[in-house]
Amino acid sequence: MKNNNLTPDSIRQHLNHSAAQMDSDTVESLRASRNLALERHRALQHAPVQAWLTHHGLWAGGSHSHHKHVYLALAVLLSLCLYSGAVYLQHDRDHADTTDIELLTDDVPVDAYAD
Amino acid sequence: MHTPINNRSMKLTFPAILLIAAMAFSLPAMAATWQELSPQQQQILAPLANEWSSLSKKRQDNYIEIAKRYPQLTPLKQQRFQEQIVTWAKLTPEQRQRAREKHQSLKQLPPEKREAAKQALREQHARKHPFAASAVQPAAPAP
Repeated sequence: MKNNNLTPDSIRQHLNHSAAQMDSDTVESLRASRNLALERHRALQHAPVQAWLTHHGLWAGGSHSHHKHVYLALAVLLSLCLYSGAVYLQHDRDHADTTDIELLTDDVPVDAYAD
Repeated sequence: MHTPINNRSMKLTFPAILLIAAMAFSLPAMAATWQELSPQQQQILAPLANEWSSLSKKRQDNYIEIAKRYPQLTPLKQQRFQEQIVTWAKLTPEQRQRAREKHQSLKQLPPEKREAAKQALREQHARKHPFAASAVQPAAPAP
């Protein structure tokens, strides 16, 4: 093929010519691949978390069960963060509790400490 | 292939899990009203009843936790607690905070210095309040 004077129009003509010569199985296979790619693209547009994971190489696409696993993992991760926060607050509260109960059961009057 | 129902259910499942998790961890963060305390907790914390609604949630949690621990205290410490909390209720928040800080600083001292400091506090208190009965029961002398 001479390609010294390739233009968008000429490329389109070549492609159309080649496509017309392809057998029906190949055309069907290409059509199915295109539809699959479009479907994945639409799914990513509607799932920003998954799109972010895909962009950072943490997600390679997959079945419905994969979606469930990622959502579940994110939920577990968030739960762990919340739990850590709760444990921290509980620790802080326990510390104050100890001080107050020690003060209130001490053999020195509490107002002596406050003077 | 994703069906619309599956997609929708998955979109709802994740927020639902987050909501449940958030609610589970935020439940303890709700302040308790005085009426929500058990009768036993109300009895133990009775001197604080008037100011209960004005206390911060953290302080309320503190006192509820103390009330829970109260039954495990020795009889001597329970008696001290009942006497001390009456005085405690009369202190301002600033005085209470000062008391906590002074108590904490005394805890850092070695035992013999701590006891000397506490004795000094008792004497200073007795001079300032000469007519106040020594309500707080001292520790039993070592045998």
